[in-house]
Amino acid sequence: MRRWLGLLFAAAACLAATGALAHAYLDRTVPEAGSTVHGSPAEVKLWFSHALEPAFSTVQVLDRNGRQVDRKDKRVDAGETKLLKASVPALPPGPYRVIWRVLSADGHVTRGEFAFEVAP
Amino acid sequence: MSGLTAALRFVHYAAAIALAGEFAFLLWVALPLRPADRGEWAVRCRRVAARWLALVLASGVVWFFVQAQVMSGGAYDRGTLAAALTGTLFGRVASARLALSLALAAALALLPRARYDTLLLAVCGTLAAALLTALAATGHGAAEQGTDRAVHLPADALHLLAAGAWLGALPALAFTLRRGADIPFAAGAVRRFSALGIVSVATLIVTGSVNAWYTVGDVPGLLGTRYGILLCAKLALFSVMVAFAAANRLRWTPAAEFSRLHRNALAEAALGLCVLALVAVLGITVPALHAKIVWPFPYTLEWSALARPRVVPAHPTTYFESPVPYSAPSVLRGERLYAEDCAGCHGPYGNGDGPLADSLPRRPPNLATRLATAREGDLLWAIANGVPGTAMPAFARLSEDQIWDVLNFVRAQANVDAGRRLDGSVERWRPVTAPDFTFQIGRGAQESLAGQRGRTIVLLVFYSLPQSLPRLRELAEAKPSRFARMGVRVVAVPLAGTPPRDAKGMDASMLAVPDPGLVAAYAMFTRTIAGPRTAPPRHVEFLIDRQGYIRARAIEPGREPIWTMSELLRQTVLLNKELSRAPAPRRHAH
Repeated sequence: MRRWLGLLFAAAACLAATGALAHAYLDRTVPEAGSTVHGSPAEVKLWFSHALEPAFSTVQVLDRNGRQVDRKDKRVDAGETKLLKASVPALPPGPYRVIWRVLSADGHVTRGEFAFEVAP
Repeated sequence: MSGLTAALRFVHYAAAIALAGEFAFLLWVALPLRPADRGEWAVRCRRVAARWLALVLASGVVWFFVQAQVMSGGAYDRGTLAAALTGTLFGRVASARLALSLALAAALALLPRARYDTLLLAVCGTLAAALLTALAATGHGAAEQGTDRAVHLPADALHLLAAGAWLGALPALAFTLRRGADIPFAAGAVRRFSALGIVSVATLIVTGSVNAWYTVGDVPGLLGTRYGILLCAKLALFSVMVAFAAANRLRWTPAAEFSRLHRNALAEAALGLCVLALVAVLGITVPALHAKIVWPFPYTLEWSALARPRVVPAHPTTYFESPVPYSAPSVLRGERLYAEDCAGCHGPYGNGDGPLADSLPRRPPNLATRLATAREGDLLWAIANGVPGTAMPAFARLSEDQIWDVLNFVRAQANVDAGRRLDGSVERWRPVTAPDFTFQIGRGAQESLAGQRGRTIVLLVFYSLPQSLPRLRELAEAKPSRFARMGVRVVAVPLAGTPPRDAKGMDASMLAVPDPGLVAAYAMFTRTIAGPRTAPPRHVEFLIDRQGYIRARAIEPGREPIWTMSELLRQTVLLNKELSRAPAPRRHAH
């Protein structure tokens, strides 16, 4: 019996891990990265791989001069905690940049950006 | 900042584990063994636990402030701290754990007056265990949802608990075995402790495997990422700890060598601290599942369900996965690059029949076949670095994303080739993946083909006016009732120009403004087994199933007349009757 338990001990040299933390990654967006939309979108939406913390997850839409053009109402969707969105007024045609920085529910920060174009 | 976070995590984890372990030893080993000496042991436990609790509290508070700054990205005012405390899971867990700590402090203070009542000691132990397991809610499992969360979170909590019961109880065990120890008590303690250790180690292995499944996933991630290497180091240290434990159990316990047992327990505890240091760093490292895997060896094992594992050559990029979705814009970008750099030898469609192919010592391979059998990471390597011993040169000037575009184009060609025999019937299965694309109906929100996945069958119509007008009117008539019932969505795209302003009896909710490049990308999918067509098509319809595969096609002018409405509906009935297949890959993946 003892020997058997000892073997179990030895076999214990296997997998073990704790406290690993995930980060939220950008899954898809509307408008899609690099795409052209006809007419201004009403909202910019970003879906992530993990649930977000609303308090510290932000997204900004910038025009070609780097001015913030969204309505500064960024929010994590109440029903879908992986979705971050911000509404925009009627955007004139031109290129736009979307800059995001999100905190996932496990306390990790990721950031990135993408571009889209508004066509008449 | 990350160094500071890791250091704080280390101190906090170590203190919380030692705190819980102290009670585990008291309640499982010391009290049952010597009920008569309970006072002596409980006094010691209280004194040590108070110290660990102070450290837990201090490190926890500092960790919270540091983490608040990490989360906010630098801002550090009262509003930020309030948001960090109440508006985040980390903050809420921190407050709950603070409350637990204070409750434990109060219980410890009450102990002498309660004459070290067993029930109160058990309450203290439970509070210490809760303080430790609640740490799981600040980890990876907390960010997951649904079943993943329901499995991962308890696994992490158990993992912490087991670490507390084994590693955390080692200092108390070492104290028991110190020089001049009470020999009968020490012998009993070692016996009881080893039962605790066996259960804990088994729990650590099982729950650690669950965690690794969620954070690492596969062997390449274990060997090819920073996270994986750190985890390997952790496993190595863990193994040595278990070896010490096994030696204690099998050799030194029967021999009653208490000085040896004492030394080994201390060594185990020291190794445990190293493990915790690794845990602290692992916690701020990108999990292998999300990291780029850089394969460290020139060979790898390839196995499939059917064949024996084989050793095959590998490259650093072998396990890279394309971040570029298989979409119409990517295919077109790839087409331009392919025409410039690849078509000369590989031929226009990748069949290895370019004008220069005959002058090469060996004909280039069929790329569609190569794509189906090789890993995309190996193809990336071959394009970027060339293939030694062949005429394939290195295309170092192409960026990684450009190479993924080229591979998406090659993939499109493989799909086009598989789809050359597409006709009006969905019955014969052909693996033709529809490239993703975006479109808008009028000025509505941007939608994508991928967004229809699992929801609707798509009839993708390319039309030219005025020839297509009767057909579009026919579709408009059928749409509200019959298509809706079949779960079919019609997306009509002009072969040239933009949709007409005046719908003229067509249904405006079908008329899409496509992303540029959609028409060109899908024009590839009009290739048939007959030779090159003499006139460009005026009207094309693709029936795309819910999994994202092109299942049927009608072209005008073509060999067969275009679908009648009843024939088209019959095909959708067939699609609705099918069992669902694996979804078509969105990315270029195997």
